[in-house]
Amino acid sequence: MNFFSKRKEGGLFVNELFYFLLSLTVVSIVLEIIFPRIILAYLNINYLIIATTVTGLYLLIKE
Amino acid sequence: MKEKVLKKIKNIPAIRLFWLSLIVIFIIVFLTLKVVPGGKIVYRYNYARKFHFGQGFIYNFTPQDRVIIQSGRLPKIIGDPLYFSVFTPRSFSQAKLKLYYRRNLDENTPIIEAGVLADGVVWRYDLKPIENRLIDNLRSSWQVLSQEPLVMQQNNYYQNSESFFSDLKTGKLEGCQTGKVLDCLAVYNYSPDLKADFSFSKSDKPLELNIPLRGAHTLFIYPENNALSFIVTVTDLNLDKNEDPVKLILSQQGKIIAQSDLIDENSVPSGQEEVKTLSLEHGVKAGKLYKLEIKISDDVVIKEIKSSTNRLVFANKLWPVSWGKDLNIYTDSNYLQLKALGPASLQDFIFNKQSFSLSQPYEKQEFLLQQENNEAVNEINLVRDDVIIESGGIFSFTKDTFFNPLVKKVDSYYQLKPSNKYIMADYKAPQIYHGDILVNEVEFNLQGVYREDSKYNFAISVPGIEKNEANYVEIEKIEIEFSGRTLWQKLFNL
Repeated sequence: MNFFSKRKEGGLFVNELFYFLLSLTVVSIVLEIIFPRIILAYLNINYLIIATTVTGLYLLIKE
Repeated sequence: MKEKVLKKIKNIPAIRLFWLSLIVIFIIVFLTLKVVPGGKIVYRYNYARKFHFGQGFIYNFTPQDRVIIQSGRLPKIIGDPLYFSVFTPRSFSQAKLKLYYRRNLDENTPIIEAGVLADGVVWRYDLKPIENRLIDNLRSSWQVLSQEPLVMQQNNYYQNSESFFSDLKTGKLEGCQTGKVLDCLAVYNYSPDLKADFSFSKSDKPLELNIPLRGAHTLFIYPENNALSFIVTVTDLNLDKNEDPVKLILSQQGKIIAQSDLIDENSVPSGQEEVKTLSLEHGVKAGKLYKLEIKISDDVVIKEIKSSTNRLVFANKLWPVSWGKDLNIYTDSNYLQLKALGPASLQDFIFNKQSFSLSQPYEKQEFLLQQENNEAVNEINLVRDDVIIESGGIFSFTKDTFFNPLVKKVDSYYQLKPSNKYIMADYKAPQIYHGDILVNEVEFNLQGVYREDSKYNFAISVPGIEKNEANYVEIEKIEIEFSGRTLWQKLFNL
């Protein structure tokens, strides 16, 4: 039971993390389209996309 | 335990609020970086670092054959000049470029300069000194009269810089055997306010120059009448689709006093030639030196020049085309850089009675006269045109009207002569950053400079670096501090 609840807590965290990363990716892409290079100059969006994909896949497998 | 999970679920809005506020902060931070509200920002690229979070603001070096890029090593400059562009999210009015570098250069390559592309039409870079080892070496043996600007004297002619500057204004410097300041002064990155005084064997007459010249040209004019009339007939070749405006800019001591413009409406189809005429008429003072810039792109040929005075010479560059006859050109320079714009332009030519061969098409070749040459004017005899002739000196098509208003430059071709008693420069020597890495900073005025696709274009120039295979300059870091108007100044138009 304890193990189940911890897994559920972790799942909620990953769920929120996924939403956060996905929103951040979308915001970054939109900002990059409006103001070219402003994000890419400071941050490689690829890392963000990879993190979003990993958390997304984790949630998908867990479901 | 179930209650705990439920409590966690209830906390979701708080978590969500937290990351949503993080995203809002993220947007605000990047919008601030875009607007640069303080008007000042530093962009840097450290080539010694292996990992970079983003692409950075400084683009890669071009052309690729002038730089060696190996992973884990600093980029190595082996060709001249090397270009790079810098993305800025907004425009700025000033830039301070800091170059951290290591050099391995022979004594024939004493100069490193950095510049910003000031004019996109004539492709002119505003170059500033990073290092001049000729001046650095002389600094130890000559006396330094002043640091800003740097004034050095060969012997103890002056005790202080004030008396030197007052004598410079009158045009009579101590120790100057010929009595002419131009003979005993050399400059670097500095334009002294000198009195122009030239004498000619024949009187001033109107001039008609029919030798076609391609691209932008700069002239010095020394009229003996009080009115200047300058009519230029150009042919727009329309080989490219770009607009080709024509500009005549008359200036004196760096200040523009008259300007004449011709806008290109680009109405003629590609490949069809277009003949245009532009004139500039302005009152001038006789016996004063003026600079006239014919600002055109390489798609335009100056067909004819009609001037009210024949006291005119060309500065630094001459590009005769489609003349079809022998060309006699006079220059003060003892070296030439020639570029044949096609195999048909290759030739053997005479430069001050010495024979040289221009043998490589599309490549800049250098020709240096033997050192014993001390003549003030050297003659160049070309048998074919469509050759770009460059040097740091003056060119003229007639010997009678030749005059040299330029002060000798302490550049890589500079030869120290006994007559040279003084050096003036706006230059600070580089400092040691760490180990053998040197650092120097140069400042550029960005107002009116060429900016395309939100990028400023810079160049690093090491003249003559390719002459010795062992020569190289390694770049460790480039740091550019941009400054301009603050957000408040922009909003309230201060």
